[in-house]
Amino acid sequence: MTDAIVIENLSKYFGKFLAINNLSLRIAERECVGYLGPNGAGKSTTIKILCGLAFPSSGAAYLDGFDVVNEGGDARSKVGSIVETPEFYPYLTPQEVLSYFGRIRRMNKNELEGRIKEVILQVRLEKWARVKIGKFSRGMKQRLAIAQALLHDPPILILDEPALGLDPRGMAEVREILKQMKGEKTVFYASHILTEVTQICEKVALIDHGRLLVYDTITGLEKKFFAGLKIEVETLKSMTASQIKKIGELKNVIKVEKKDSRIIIDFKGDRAASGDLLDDIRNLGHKILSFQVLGATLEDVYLQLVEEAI
Amino acid sequence: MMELELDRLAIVTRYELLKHFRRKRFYAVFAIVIAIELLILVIPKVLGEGYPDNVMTMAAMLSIGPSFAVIASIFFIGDAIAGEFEGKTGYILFSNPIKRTTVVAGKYLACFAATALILLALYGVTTASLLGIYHQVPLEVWESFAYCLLYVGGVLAMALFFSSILRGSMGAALSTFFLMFMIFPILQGVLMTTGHEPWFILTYAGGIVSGVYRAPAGMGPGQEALMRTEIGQSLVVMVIYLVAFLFLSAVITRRREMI
Repeated sequence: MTDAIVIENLSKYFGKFLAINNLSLRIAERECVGYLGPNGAGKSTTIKILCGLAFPSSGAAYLDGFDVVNEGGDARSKVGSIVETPEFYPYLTPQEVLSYFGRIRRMNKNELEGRIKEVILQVRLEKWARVKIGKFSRGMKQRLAIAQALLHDPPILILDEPALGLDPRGMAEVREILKQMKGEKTVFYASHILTEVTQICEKVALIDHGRLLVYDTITGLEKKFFAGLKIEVETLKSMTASQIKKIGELKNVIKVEKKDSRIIIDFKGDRAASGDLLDDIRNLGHKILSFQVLGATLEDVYLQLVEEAI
Repeated sequence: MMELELDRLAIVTRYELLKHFRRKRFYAVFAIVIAIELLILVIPKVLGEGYPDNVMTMAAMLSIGPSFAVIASIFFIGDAIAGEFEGKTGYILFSNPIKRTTVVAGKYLACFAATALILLALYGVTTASLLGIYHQVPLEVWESFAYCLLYVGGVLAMALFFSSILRGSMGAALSTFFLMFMIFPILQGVLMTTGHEPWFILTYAGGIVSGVYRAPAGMGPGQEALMRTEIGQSLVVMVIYLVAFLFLSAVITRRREMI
């Protein structure tokens, strides 16, 4: 498998401020990689360099083998992107915007017309296809941004917070679209929403202060940094403090936290062992309404690594 | 190898033209300049003074509308590049596989075409008025139109330059405006007072738009040759402004980052 995105010793200065510090990263074809980091970590700057919106101070980056600086046109032709919170020309309609960018990408007329209909349906903007964008909300513009990124069916998607500004339904739809892309396209996906990254991507790259802290599969990271699970339990009757204390004393339980009628348990063990915990809680006389393994959280890994970097 | 992007240039130009045609400012400018021309035609009648005897004088009076159109065109192009950065539309446009030079050229051409359309209408009004009043249209009217197009080309290139270096669209338009109507005239005045001809200043060169109406009939052959030399010099100055500022705009926009 060849690498679709290659970043080699990339550095970027803004005046004296070092935004990206000797970053190297390789993303294989059809891989989905989450790009994580706190605000100001350098995520957007990396993405801007990949998309030809900013230029590296040193190092290089390649998209599908094309240098993003010296072969920018060829590199960008392979990519569909959303960078920051893009805006559109308010005097155009979604159909016109997509037609404009499709024609810039030299899509043929018949193919373009068909694709415009498809992507507009995909992002559920069909009722607004002929309405001027000047009247659109942030969420609708974000949907259009997704549509333009998918329009030319690019092999690589570079997305910077694609769900930003969307309502919960919109976020779920974006998640579904990206899940459909999984295995078909290379996706490089910057986000703050870790649960979303966990659901969509198999690998994550975590950066802070422009430096790559870790790059691994999510399962690999969870094994490396936290050998446990978070489990949410809902019982028929709300637990008293003494009952919670008793659960805290059960085998492999690290911490118990009460949230309304539920408790969240930090559990040191794998999914198989969580079955024993379920039995133990039942044995304490609780009627369990739901028992849900939330997963060993990427959030824990994230917080641990970002804290270490500070 | 330099890849030609004529198809993309045509697309950018077309969509930029659409922008001008869908904005109120285009129609506002159109209405204002037509109103100016109509006032020039109506006021002498209302005051009962009649029109000048010389067709050239009347043609020169009617060149006020085109001059105003040239000023207004600055506000058409002010947001061409700055607007992409200020309004964040550049995040989408510049991440497409299109050369920024093509984008700059397309935006310039669209703005030029929109202004040229207004100028064409104005010179149409001038032609119709002169025909109606004097039953003749001197060739200088169309000569003036050609010079006016070149002048607007230089002005737009300069405004595009400001649009490529400044963050805000309004700042770009106002900078060009102040340069054209405060700094250049002051410089022009100082140079003329000290006995130097400010031939290299764009606004001075643009004087040929109405200057062409200085009646050659009253001139001797020497004077007419001198006037033609001045016109030639002004044309060269306008071409230099156009090419130099367009080139600078393209270079700066290519290097500009969307931060």
